[in-house]
Amino acid sequence: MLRLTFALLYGFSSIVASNPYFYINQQQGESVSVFKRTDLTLKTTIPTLKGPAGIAISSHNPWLAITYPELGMISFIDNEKLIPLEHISVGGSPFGAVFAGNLLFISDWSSNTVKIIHPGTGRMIKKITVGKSPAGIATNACESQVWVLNREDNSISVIDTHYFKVIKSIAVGKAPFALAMDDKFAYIANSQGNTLSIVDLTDLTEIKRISVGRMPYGVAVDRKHHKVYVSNQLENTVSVLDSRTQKVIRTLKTGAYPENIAVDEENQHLFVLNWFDGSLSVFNNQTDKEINRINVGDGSRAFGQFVGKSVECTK
Amino acid sequence: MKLSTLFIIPFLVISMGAKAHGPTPKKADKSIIINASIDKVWAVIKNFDDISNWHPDVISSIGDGKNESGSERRITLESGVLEEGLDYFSDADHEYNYRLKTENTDVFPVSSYTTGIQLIAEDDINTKVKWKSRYYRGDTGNTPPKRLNDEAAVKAMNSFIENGLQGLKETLEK
Repeated sequence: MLRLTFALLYGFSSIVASNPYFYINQQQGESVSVFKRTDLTLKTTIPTLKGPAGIAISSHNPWLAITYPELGMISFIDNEKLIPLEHISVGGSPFGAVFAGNLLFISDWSSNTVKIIHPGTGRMIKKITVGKSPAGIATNACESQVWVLNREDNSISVIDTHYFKVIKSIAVGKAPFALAMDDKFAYIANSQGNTLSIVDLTDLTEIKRISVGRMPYGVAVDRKHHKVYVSNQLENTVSVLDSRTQKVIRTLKTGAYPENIAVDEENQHLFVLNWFDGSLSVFNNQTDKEINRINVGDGSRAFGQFVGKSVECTK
Repeated sequence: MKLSTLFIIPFLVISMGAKAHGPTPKKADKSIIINASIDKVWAVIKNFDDISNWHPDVISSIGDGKNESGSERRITLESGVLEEGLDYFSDADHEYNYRLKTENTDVFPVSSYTTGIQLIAEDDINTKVKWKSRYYRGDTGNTPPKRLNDEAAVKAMNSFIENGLQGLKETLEK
């Protein structure tokens, strides 16, 4: 633990180069698969505990965090050396996870809290009460806020990452589950409302709610091409929005039960995990054409930002 | 010493007391070939409310008769009543999707499911019926009782689907 803390103190001063991998949990098994972002080949698999579900990648340190909702555990993994660092018992049902600064924020759907973990010591430094069944969780570019979606409360809790307090609750559509943010807005998939809520990051209000496909389950943002991608689990499609007009511009066909979704801006890829097929659809995010479909195994899950992103805080 | 080497902490193996399983969604993916044209098969299964006409495990079923997104039905099994909601219905694709509306694990040991049924014409007189489902066990907590664990859910779901497909085949081929 001490060594991790030490590394943290030094590591934090420099920004880690963009992580060359993306990660897919084998939820029916006990490992996480590591793929190369450039050529999409499997690099290795890292052993985990049973039933890994959530994923978070640090922008500042070579850390990957994995959640195990059923075990009440999380793991930290060195995402450069690709080895497990430690397993930590946090209790409850840790599901979504995101790093903000040098801390990990996890949504615990059974205790209706967000737990804040200090990776260096493995200690839980704070537990914040949010709404019912918190699921998707994300940070803004400057990591000054953590947003968590309360699936059974149809709301967002916005947490200030400095004061560790909920500063606003925002009502959205039915059963919000996953989200992504660009510089101006947060996009929230309301899984049972078949809608996407667009929330202004400045005044923290929902400005628009638009129809997407059935059971939207994942959201990803492509800032370069001004697009928002929404996976529609029960429709085997992805809705593509133009973030400037906030309108759906096209719909992409995927495999069965598309769920977790992420954009790799550096390599111009959109990844869509087809849960039912155990496959990953890879689209060129400039043309929105599917260019590859990779077998990733039955029961694959990657709830969270499973590809590293280089986000600039412009404040 | 390189900074990165400082990250290596021995892999702590933590022994898990209980044999816990992740709240991993389960999937069912079954199909059957029926010796009847796609139109004939569709005519039997298309009315969402009429599942009791062909499913041997469903004693009775009732609904609004609309066959559209938002429609609901109540199906009575030997163990009790389940409420299901129709999410998608396509005459053109011979397909519909529905989900469990209200959890009732006393009746069926699955806490939630989404199901899709679709017909594919093999040729003019044979039709493939595809039945897909994604579901969670009855108790998604950390220590489910035996009757609500993964095994119980898989068994119940597989049996319900297989009986349904077989019942449909018998209804159409008799």
